[in-house]
Amino acid sequence: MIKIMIVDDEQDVESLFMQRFRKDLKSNQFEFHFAFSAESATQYLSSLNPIDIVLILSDINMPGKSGLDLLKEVKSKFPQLKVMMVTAYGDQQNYDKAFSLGADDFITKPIDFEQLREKIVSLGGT
Amino acid sequence: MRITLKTKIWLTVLSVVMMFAFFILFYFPIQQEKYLLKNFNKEIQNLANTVALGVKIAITEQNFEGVQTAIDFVKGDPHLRFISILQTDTIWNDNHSSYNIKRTVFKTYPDGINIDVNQTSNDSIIVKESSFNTSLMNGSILLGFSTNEIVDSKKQIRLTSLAVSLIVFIVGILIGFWLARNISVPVLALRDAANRVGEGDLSQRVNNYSRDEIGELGVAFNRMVNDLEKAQEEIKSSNIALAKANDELQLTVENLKSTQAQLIQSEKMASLGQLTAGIAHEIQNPLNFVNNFSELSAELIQEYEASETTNEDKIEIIKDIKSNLEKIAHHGKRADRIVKGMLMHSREQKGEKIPVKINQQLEEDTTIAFHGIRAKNSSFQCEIVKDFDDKIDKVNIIPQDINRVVINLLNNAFYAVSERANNENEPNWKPTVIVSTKHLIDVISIGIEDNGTGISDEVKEKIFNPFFTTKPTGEGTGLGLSICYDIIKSHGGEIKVQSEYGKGTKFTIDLKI
Repeated sequence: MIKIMIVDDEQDVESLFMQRFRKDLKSNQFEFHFAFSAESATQYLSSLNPIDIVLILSDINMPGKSGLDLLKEVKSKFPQLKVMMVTAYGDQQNYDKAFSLGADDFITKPIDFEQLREKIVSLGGT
Repeated sequence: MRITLKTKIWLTVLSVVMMFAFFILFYFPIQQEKYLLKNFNKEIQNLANTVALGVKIAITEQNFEGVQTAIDFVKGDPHLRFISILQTDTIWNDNHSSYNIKRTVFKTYPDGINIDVNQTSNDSIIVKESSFNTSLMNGSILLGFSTNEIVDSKKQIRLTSLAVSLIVFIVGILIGFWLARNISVPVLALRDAANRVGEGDLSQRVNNYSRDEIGELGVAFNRMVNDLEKAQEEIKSSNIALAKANDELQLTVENLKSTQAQLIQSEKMASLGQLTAGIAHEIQNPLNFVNNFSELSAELIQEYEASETTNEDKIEIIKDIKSNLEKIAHHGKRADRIVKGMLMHSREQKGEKIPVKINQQLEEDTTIAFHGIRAKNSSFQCEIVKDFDDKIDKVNIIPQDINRVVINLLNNAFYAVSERANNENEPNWKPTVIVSTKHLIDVISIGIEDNGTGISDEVKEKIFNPFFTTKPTGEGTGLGLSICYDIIKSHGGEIKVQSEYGKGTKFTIDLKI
């Protein structure tokens, strides 16, 4: 089972992911935790002992701390965690910034869930 | 009364001439006559004395011819009227107590003339007496001379005086003419020339070649008119230059006006461009949901139609579909609002005031502005506090105008906090922007506050001036706040700024309701 944390300020993301991955969830292939800000994501991470999630999907553009700040923090504290940026801001600047901060992958909205599933499986499997 | 220079000259000349003529005609002859008379008297007295002395000597020597010789001494004078030898006898009274002097004529020439022994001088005759004493007789010589000579002399003197007076008078008149010619004529010419210069004719010059003060005055006048002419020409040419400069300035002003209009337009386009970047990305979020939830719903319907699906499952599926449709509708509306917001910004024409829910509008503006700045700077972060007054409902505004102002102020606020974040390393400082509304008695107050770099008092004074910017060259047009100011003014509202350098800034928009 791959445990994944999804960070996005849009609450409807939860419903979307639960429906899109309902078969995977039924078959216990995936498990999701939803955080609606970068702050609550780091809070959740620090509350985990041991850290059982392997992958973080994070939006970039959020009020307060941005997804890139979160990426930087996660990569310095928990270098073993994979981080995939999911954003509407697919410009070169964000793309380069994300990879320079150590992002493992980068996808743009609207999300293609077939592609996302493949990426999750390949990232979570390694 | 106005006395002309000419009159003055003539008066002076005439009075001098008159005084001189008076002296020559009256005073001088009278003096001369007095002198003549005195000399004549003296001369006759001397003659009498001389004759008396001769007679005395002749009588003493008893030489009676000598008496005749003495008398002959004056006989030849053509003016002689008479000469008498008088005998003086002293006659005592009987008792010798008193005496009488008796004078008798002893001899007279010419003979046969009756002589009054006591005769004195009058106008026509001068009578002089000289006494002599001898042992033989006591007596005196009485001389009578005609005044004809003096009268002749007098006539001569008067004629001479008249002639001299005439000459003086003529000379005086000539001097008068000369003076008038030399003083009055050039002065009048100067006056006329000065008058014409005063009327603007600078070609006037005076021709005066005399070397006196009037000549110098003429030269000075000509020089002055020359200088005036030169000065006027200079003024004319500088006026032409000024007019040219004025035309150029006018042209520059017109160019500036059109440049300003272009700049305002480009400022609009620049802010629109920035907003478009924010909006284009922002619209992806609702579209993401619309696309995915509709695809999911289609899948759910397939699942529903599948034969193996139980009734229990079907109820769940319908529930999910319903919820998805609600979400699709919600996010569709959200996208719609975002696009409408963008359209409002791009519209050129004057908007009309419509009732707008201010709080909701501000909410959207804040999102748009925030995403706008995020689009430019993905690492930007800021806490946004919204403090809206629930009592506020709809307010009559031109929404695209107020949006413009609010988004502009928000952009400035985000810029200010990001500048502070870049420049300083403050562990306890959190970039914050507070958007607030407040319902006052007859005013809706919108506040946009940041804890960024703040504004110095010096900058605060100029902050609403067109083209004033603190941003580096090329980053700001300096028109943002100036346009905000104009928009709020035309709404009949007020825009104010409070700021402390290094602490933060608050803009307040007061809209009348």
